[in-house]
Amino acid sequence: MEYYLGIDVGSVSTNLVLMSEDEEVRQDVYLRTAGQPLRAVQQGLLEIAQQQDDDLQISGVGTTGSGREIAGVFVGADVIKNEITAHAIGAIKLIPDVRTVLEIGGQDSKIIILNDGVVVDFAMNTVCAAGTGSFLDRQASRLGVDIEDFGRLALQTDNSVRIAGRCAVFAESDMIHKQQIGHSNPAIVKGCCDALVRNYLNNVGKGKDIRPPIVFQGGVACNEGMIAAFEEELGCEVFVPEYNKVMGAIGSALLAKEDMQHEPRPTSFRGFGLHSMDYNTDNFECEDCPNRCEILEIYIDGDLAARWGGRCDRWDRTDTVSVEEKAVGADN
Amino acid sequence: MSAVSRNADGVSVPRVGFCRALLYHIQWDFWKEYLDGLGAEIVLSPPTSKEMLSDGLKLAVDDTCLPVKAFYGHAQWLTTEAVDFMLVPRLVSLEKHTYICPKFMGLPDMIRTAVAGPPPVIDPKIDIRQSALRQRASLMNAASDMGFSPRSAREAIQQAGSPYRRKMRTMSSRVKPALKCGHSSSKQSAMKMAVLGHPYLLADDVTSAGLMWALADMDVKPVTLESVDDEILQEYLQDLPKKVFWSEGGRLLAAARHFSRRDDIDGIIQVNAFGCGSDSLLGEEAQRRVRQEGSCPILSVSLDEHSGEAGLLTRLEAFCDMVKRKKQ
Repeated sequence: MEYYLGIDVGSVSTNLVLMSEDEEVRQDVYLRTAGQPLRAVQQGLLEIAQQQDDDLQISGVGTTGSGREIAGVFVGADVIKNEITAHAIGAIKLIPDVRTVLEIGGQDSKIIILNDGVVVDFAMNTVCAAGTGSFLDRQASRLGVDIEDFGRLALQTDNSVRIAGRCAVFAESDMIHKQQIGHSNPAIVKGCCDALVRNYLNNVGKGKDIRPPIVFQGGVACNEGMIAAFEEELGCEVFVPEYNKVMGAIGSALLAKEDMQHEPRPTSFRGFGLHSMDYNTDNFECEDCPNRCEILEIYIDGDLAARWGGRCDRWDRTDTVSVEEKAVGADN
Repeated sequence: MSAVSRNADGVSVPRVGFCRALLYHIQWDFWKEYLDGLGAEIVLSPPTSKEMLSDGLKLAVDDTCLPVKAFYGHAQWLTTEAVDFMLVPRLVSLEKHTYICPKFMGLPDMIRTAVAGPPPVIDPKIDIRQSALRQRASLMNAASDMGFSPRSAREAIQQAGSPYRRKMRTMSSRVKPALKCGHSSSKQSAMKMAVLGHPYLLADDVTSAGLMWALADMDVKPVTLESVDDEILQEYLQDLPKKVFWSEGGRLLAAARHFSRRDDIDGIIQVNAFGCGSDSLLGEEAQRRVRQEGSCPILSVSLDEHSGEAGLLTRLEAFCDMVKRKKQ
């Protein structure tokens, strides 16, 4: 059996999905990026290598998310695609007739509008990250509640407190104020969820044609309070897929499969041995022309593995050396 | 004040500085001929660099758009070049019954107050709403303020022609260098997209965050409103319920409607400068009309000094993917 690997390196979480040729998820890994995207990718590869047979055959690798470029050159990805396309492909796979995808991740939120399985419109939050996962994380820890229980708290009450959701900073002040005048935590949390949903629909969802079936995915889709708030505001059922936290990685694996079948070639994946290799990154400014491109380099076990970031191909070197080949080279 | 330059006859000529920003991208041909005709030594600021932009950000008032902020940086650069005068024309109106963005009208005053120790700012007024005589007088006065004789001024005005003719330049010439050195040299552009934005935003690699380069990398052939006949644009402006009194914003709105009906255009990318008054109103209007008029996909991106390049690239890539998959 052939397998495809999808890797979604986001600002907050890094997710890996091992998908079989017949598009079944064999294993999914959800990890915190914790500011070290490559460390997280290594950890993910290790977890997959530990659980799977040694002779696991990978036929293609896709990366997505804000760290897609660096993760892509690191692992030797065959397809590097943006997270909007990846999330749409993932959603279509699980719910083929989906019309609207609501996606809220750690630091970004997006809405994708589809028609007959094709993306027709999308939007992403711009400079503001109000209402994304990291804000909820922070509020949960401020109230001393586990993030896993935060959403459930909102379901304990029918009373919602009006919270100003336009800006995360003001929302926090407002929540503190409501606490100080004596509102209960469940009511405040419910108010917070309502405010974030309002903010999302007025910003990211502004002017969008939102129609059912609606899929809600991303880390925040685990929050029951947010699901309830969306259903109330939109007046219809909001569907949370089983793999909501790793939908980007699923989409990425599907994109890898699609591309490898469209243009058959051997994968450039460096192998699971990467998990134990040392790496370091470096950067410099090219002074050859006024563009002053920022060139990035990545070294794996001391050897230059890739270099990218220039507008011209002066410094490009993305030829990948597989771990096995390197190991052979080291023996000689 | 300055290193005195001399012309071929050994007569000293003033060094006149001009900013390579904003109106440079609309009327430079005219001002170059005018200054050449006068016999001035022209000092043109270099293309916007990141340093010039950050200088501009420090000097500019908060609520202007990015290209205006970059203009401050250009003016600041010119003060280090020992120029005798800085020519900052005051653009009021370029087309009958319309105005250009008010920031262009206030530009000379903004520069005078903000840039440290500027050389005298010369600000001839370009306003088609005024009589031909007054327009001419404005250019004559500017020449005289820089110490040129009435005779050379008359000759220069004659040579330069009208400041109201538009510089016709298509975006393809700007993208060529990108294609030459970029990653997509061998491939035929797979998609043709209309890129709509003020020329001073799109033609500047720094204020546009390298958008044109990014599109070339994604195999997109950009088409801009400069490639559309003025008559066609006027037609689309006529059937609006209300006359648009911003000439530049109106052209962008008309172009959006025109492109949305063209079969050879796969999508429209609207590039707005954050803080631009006409973009915020007419850009929104253009989006609504494009959505009403048909199925042409439209993406709107807003640029300011806080825009991350990564977010812009993600949106462009996702938009191109969307269009490509739709075509398949």
